[in-house]
Amino acid sequence: MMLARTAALFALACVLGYAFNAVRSDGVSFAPVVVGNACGSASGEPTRAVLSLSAADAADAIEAGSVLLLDARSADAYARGHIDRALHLPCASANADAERALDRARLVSLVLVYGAGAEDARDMAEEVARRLGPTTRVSLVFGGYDALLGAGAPAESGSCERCGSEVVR
Amino acid sequence: MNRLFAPLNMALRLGLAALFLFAGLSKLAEPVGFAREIANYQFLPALAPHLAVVLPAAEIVAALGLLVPSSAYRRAAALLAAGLLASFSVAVISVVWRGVNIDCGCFGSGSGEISGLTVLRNVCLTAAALYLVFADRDEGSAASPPSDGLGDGVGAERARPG
Repeated sequence: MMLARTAALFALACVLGYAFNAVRSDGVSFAPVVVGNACGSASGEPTRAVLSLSAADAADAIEAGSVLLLDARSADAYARGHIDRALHLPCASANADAERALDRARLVSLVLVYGAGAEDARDMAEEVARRLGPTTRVSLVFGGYDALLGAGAPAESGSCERCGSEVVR
Repeated sequence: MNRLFAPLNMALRLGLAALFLFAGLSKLAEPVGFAREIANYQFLPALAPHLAVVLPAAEIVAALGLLVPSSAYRRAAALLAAGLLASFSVAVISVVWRGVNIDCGCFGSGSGEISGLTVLRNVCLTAAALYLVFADRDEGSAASPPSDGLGDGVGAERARPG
């Protein structure tokens, strides 16, 4: 009997929930929800275009300091090697990780985003630029990780368990 | 003996009701954001919009059910609350287990990250709700009507035919 009452209460909740959702203007649409990730495709807002920076200029900027590096490659690639102090932030990162990285990015004057090649990190870079707004300069490193290494940027290796959210906190 | 536990039962009931009411209303205020929080769990994402509609309403119904005079419906509401909390516990344990770093969404947006403490809190709340399911039953089995002013006991319910 108690189970029947519990089921009745749950059924009442379902009816009330769907009815209220139907009448409210800001109700939930039943289309599949896009998981909010670091690239924020669920936001629907236009991204901000970013300029590419040559690997040599990027390496100079890293040496000069006040730069935050974001590595948009896969976790395996990051673990094999990444630019010194770069945070691992691929598009698949959770929003919480992205927000923490952006909190750090707001403290620097330049954010450099790099991927494995010339263009693969562009989505990430544009999303970071959109979220940071015009006050922080965001650039995509042309040529990505290999080009940065070739330009003499310092590298280190290690798994993502030592980076990303752990480092950003 | 049952009278000794009446203040504890009342406190747990009111506490759970307040918590569920607050959680339900918080989620109801921002349904799209809550749907996204659910989808972030990466746990049956296709159900996220439906859960975002049903869960706040279920929490509010459970909260109000915990406050009604009829102990039969209070116990049913406590069981509903326990079921919800057990489901939430499974979800947060799964997130902690998989190492997914997301916000809890327990009280709508900005509820903070999921951690071991979130799991512990949910398990404790589930235990409290289950305790209420059985505590009300014991309370009602006393010969005299319950003195906490919350109405009929289970003994009275049992005496009814059907």
